[in-house]
Amino acid sequence: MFARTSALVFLPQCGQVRNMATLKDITIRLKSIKNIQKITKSMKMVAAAKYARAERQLKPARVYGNGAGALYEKAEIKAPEGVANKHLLIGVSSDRGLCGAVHSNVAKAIKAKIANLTGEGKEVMVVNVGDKLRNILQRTHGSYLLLSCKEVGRKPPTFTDASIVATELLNMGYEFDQGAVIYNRFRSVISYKTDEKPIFSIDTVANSENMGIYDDIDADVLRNYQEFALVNTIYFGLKESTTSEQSARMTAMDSASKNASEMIDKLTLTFNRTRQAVITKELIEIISGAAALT
Amino acid sequence: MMAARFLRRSLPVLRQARCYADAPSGSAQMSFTFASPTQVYFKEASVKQVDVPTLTGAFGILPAHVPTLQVLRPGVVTVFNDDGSATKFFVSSGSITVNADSSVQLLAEEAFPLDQLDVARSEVGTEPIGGFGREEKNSSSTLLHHGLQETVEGAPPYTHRRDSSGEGGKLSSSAYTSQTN
Repeated sequence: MFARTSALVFLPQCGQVRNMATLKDITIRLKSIKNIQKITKSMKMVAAAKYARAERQLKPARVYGNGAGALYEKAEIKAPEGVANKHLLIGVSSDRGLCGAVHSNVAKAIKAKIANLTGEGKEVMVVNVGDKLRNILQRTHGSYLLLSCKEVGRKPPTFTDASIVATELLNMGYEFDQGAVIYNRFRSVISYKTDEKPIFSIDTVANSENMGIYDDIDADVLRNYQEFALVNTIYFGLKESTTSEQSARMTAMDSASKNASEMIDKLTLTFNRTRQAVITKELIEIISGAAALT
Repeated sequence: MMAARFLRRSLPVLRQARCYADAPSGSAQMSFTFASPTQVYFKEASVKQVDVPTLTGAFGILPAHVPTLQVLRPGVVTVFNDDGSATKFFVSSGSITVNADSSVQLLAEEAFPLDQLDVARSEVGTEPIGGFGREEKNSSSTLLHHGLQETVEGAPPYTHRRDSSGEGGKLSSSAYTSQTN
């Protein structure tokens, strides 16, 4: 009873705006949506240009990255099963948003892998490249974060960036046995898929069974080789990730612009109808006023 | 020369299997991939021979070479195509993998065809290339510069130098500037 009377007190203020928005309100909304549409259109153009460049750079990077992984495939290197190995996950993403589900896909894959590995009793640490990823993971899986890299995504990634990440990672001193780089593999302009590339530690590679056929390998050479391979894998992940991100941003901004233009159409119709209603109301008032006089 | 190398370093298991190198069988085609992060020079191409400079010495790779992993040092890579012509590239560092199925992956951190090089400009601007060099004496940029000089003035003929440059080469992080963008 009490609540109802107090509600009655407040209702009139909401009541007059609810049914028919005034012309002014519609004009304001229309203007703001038009501005937003301009912004999303220009963001789409920018993303399209960046995507074209990223895709061009991706072609040699793919050959390079696949070449780097060839050893692991051909020698079928895998960590010994059953041992409680330490895992390392490197999630590759970027700092910037408005690109669809790019970051959340990588984060989901990482969370699933963490759940899997901790369920099997293995130790996991995560390195993330990109601030967005850190934001997503920090709340729930903050204890697993080993290293976090910022300033990713503004300029196209270079080999130097990948080597910086690898250096810092190796300097942290986390002795992992095997791991994976989790990134978004670019498939086409409208599709990408979250994928992973394996990485191994020096010991795992050295002790793997098929390594015996490789001639003349001493520890130094193997270590250099492994570090180089790590940088290559990270570089490959970065390149693919950038291309996927730019294409996703292009698609997202494109659909945002389309949604905005739909809203503009609908609002324009409402605006015209409201305008006509207002004119009709004024006419009726004038005519009925005149009729009342005569 | 190649046979002597096999004899000296073949593993005990393999010693019974081969004394001298067998004639290359029909399937021993080298699938050669040579790329840098920004450019692909050869992709699974079939070539006759590749000469590479590595940290343990320079050697030539023919089809059916014994599988191996090596790390490159700054120097010249010569690719002998099937038609007999040879192309030379300068590489700063990288790795080479020879697999059992005779596929060769030569991944260079930076690679340029020789005609794009200018030694005088290489002295200026010691921007770290980020190679995996050893400590200060053989730092990557020094190696790079020497490699460039050798290249332009004509490298000494390839010999089997077994350098015992066995300093504990930890990853020289001095080679990487904090070149964050």
